[in-house]
Amino acid sequence: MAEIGIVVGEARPERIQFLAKDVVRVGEFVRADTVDGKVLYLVESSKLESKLLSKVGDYITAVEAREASKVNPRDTVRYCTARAVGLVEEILNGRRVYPTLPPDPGTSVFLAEDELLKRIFYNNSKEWVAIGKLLRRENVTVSVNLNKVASRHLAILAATGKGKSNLLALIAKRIAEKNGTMIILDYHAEYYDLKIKKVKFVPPRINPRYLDSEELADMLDIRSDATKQRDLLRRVYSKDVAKSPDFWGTLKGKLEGCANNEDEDFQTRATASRLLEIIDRGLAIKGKIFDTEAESPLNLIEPNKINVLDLSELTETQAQIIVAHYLTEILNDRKNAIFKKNSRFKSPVVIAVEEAHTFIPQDRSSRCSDVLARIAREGRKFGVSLILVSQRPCKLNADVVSQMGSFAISGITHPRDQSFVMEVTDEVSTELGATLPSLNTGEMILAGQWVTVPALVKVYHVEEKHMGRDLDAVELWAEEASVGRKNISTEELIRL
Amino acid sequence: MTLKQFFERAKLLKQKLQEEESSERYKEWVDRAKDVWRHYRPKEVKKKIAAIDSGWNYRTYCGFYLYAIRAMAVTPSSEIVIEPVVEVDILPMEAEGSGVNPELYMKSIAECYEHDLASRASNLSDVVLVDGSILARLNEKRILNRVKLFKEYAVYVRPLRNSKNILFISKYSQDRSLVGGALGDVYYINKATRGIGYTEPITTEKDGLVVSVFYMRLSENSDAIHVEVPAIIDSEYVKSVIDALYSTAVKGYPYALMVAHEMASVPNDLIDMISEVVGLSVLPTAREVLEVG
Repeated sequence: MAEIGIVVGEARPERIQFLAKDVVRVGEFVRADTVDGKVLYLVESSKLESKLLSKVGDYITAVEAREASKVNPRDTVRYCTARAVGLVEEILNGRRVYPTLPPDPGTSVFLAEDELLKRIFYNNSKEWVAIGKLLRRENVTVSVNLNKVASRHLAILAATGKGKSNLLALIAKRIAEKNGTMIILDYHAEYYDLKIKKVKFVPPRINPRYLDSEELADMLDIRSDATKQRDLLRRVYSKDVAKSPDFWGTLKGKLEGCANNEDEDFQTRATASRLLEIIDRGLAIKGKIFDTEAESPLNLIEPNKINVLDLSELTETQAQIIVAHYLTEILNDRKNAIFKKNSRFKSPVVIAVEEAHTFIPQDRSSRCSDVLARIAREGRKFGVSLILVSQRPCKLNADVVSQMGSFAISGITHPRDQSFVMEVTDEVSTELGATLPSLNTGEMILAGQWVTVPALVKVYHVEEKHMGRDLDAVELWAEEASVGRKNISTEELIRL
Repeated sequence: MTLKQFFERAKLLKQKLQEEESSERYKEWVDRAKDVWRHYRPKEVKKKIAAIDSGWNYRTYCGFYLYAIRAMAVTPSSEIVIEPVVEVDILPMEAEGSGVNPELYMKSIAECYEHDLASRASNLSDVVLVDGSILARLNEKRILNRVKLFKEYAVYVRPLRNSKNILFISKYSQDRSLVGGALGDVYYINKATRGIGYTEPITTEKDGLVVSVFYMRLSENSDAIHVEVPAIIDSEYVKSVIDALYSTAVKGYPYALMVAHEMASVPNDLIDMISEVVGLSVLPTAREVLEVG
């Protein structure tokens, strides 16, 4: 293979700079020899400059300089920086070992051969699944390690429209192919028409007996500042209500007793009446969520399937309460499985949290942030892993994100989000981070333990996943209008 | 304290210049420049162009100085026309009062190399451009007589005689012989004209070398440049030079000379590296001994 550049400037073991003969794109893989052996590098920045045109200060001079520059090949400088991703021989043996010395200045830089990249990125052993192609080499398939996803957690951090839900659907599809168990916490009903095999749509269900009075108040949409209503609910929501065969009847009976009790003050009686109205309204609107007979929320979730839990009709707090209960149960169930006790999930469970910043916000704790943090810390031991999905990384709890072993990143434009990403993963440098906004839909940086080495990847498009795209409003309006016209007969049109 | 004095002086100077520009004699000089200027609409003609330039740098040590000189002949596309000349050496300073300092000495040697390269390149190229003025060079090098070096310098000038395709180009000419104003001719030409054009060549003689002198402007609204050709030429020749150079000129300056300048320069980091290779970097330089700490 022909030399494409020469190492110049200050070279370090982890990073080199080289002057290139021709254009070298960010995301390309190059190699150079060091004393330790051949090293694979990922091109993180590529700068193209005309020395002459850099100095001009007006349009006419720029026109003249452009013509002059055209005839002088020395005038155009192509300057690249590349980060070492490991010694080639070690990568081929499945280890990521970094060089201890940089290449000598003047060392030749070569494009990494397709065959070499295929050996590095494609793996057909059972724990690996194909997920896309290298962005700069369309003939090189990239595999990721599902075992790492199922044990060391994954964060998908990308701007809206960059392919977060497509990647999650692809992971779900691959997990389904491997007979795995996955739960997608679907906050915006993005997966309701996911058409992959083994998908199961699960309506959220919760047994109100397992809720404390504050959670019950939240689930019934009692305002957080309605302290009198909450206080009264706490007073009447006793153990005998929780154990009563007729949960709602007993609870309402107690409140009716209050409302009609002449000994109670006027305010309490009025509050009891208002609570009764709220409960009736709550049961009318969200009655399906409450299942007073359910032993565990897990009964509806099926092992070895992709379970999509639709949280779209719940408020933020309600969704957090439901998630907290589900995840606590799952973690306990998996602990039982590990300790050979009775359990529903005999094998690891992957939990995908869409809109993760809603559930583990940075600046406050949520109803489910404790259990999510616990899974992030301890889940690996019990076979419960997280896939956090968010378009605002900096709004995520940094402690939880720091537990993520793998990352898929794309299209992050906000500087705070960019710096957050660089803080939590040392594999995305400032230079590489600068390319994030320019990535197109489906183009992502994959980093961490689930890939052999970090890479820019064009993720496969999942045809079975339709939601997540913007609605074609104009088409939908036209469709609706044409449907409307069909209902009007010619005679009716003439009459009009 | 001194800053205030500087700015007061600067304000006075501005006033003086404004008075000068509204004077009768200034108008006469500008009119004279307008009279001698010939507008020209160039036609692009492809010619083989070579540009010559040199660079030098030095480091002074106790009792001697280390110098490096590089002279290049290149095309606008950075190709080497003739093998470059490179010289690295050490020399003691000339005796006090001789007037020959390291700068003058190196400049003289570099110019000798430039003249040699220009002479040889003239056989291989249609137009050979050299950065500078041959007349100014000859004037300045008179001082070399004091150390008996002028004859040696002249040896390298001699082959340039009657070389019609060698052009000495000055961007900041101080020549006042054409307009005869208080400032250089090019100042009045730039005040009087802005279009592409030239002045008729005028022939002069210096140390046995016949030189034709003219001004030309290669692109509109740029500064005119001063040109010397060591031969007798006419205005048709001047037009042919503009035709050959205008299409690749940047801000009115031939691009080939920019390339030659870039490639020939000996920057500070290079002379420091050379000093290291020679093994002199451990010695204090003249500048370092002035530094305390």
